[in-house]
Amino acid sequence: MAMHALVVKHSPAIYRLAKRMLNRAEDAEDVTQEAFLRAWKILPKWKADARFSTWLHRVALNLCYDRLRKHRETLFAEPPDMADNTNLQPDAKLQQQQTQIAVKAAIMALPERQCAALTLTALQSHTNKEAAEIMDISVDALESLLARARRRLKQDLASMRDKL
Amino acid sequence: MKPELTDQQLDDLLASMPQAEDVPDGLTMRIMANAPQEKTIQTLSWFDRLTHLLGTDRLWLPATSALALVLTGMAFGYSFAPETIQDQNIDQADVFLTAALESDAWLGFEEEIAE
Repeated sequence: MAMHALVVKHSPAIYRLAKRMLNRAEDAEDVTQEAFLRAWKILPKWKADARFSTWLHRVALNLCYDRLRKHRETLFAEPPDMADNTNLQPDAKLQQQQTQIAVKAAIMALPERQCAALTLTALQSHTNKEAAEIMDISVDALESLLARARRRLKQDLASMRDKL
Repeated sequence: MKPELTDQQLDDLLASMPQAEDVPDGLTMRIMANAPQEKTIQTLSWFDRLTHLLGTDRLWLPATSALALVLTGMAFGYSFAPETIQDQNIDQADVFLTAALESDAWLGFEEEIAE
């Protein structure tokens, strides 16, 4: 069950990465499927110069970049889907959702490589080394992207300061 | 202009983001159902088709048995056309294909049959 096992193991992480980068479930599904289509084409000739999961994330990330370049305005136009935390009171839930939407929008407004670096590390819990490998850059370059992303987020989300 | 967030405040905001988005039901099935068909059809040899039709995912069959199966299949009018494969369980075809691609022994066996 090699192919099936690969899909079961890796598709959730790929989907979540794409969803966070693109904001829309249908786009994330398409990217996930396309990434595996590419994997199927290359697997018979696979040379293990990178871990499969790293390579698959890299493919998915590049597919996300393509879509962001083509449809950025459309993707921004929709409010992000956010998790529904049913344990909270309605007021608190509303405030949490508004906060999450504002943070998500600020992350998506970052330049794409900064967005990817932050998404991989802060939201997808990859180490800096893993994220750098996925993005095919050095750890130093990744940390530079993260520093710029964080600096911009701290400015763009300054209005949230009173709510924290 | 408001003062920017501190590092700690930004970290708190990022930590408040949902850590696990729900993966839609059926995503795995969609990937498995759509992706391998063309490749499977193009790559399956007549022997793949035969063994798949007979419900086996084992690579190794003695050459004589394989030939016997071919003759038997032909005698009973089995169709080995690609469209027949499309109706089969795609997972099973995929397993077979993967194993076949990875197996040097399979290549040797195919050459043996060709002779």
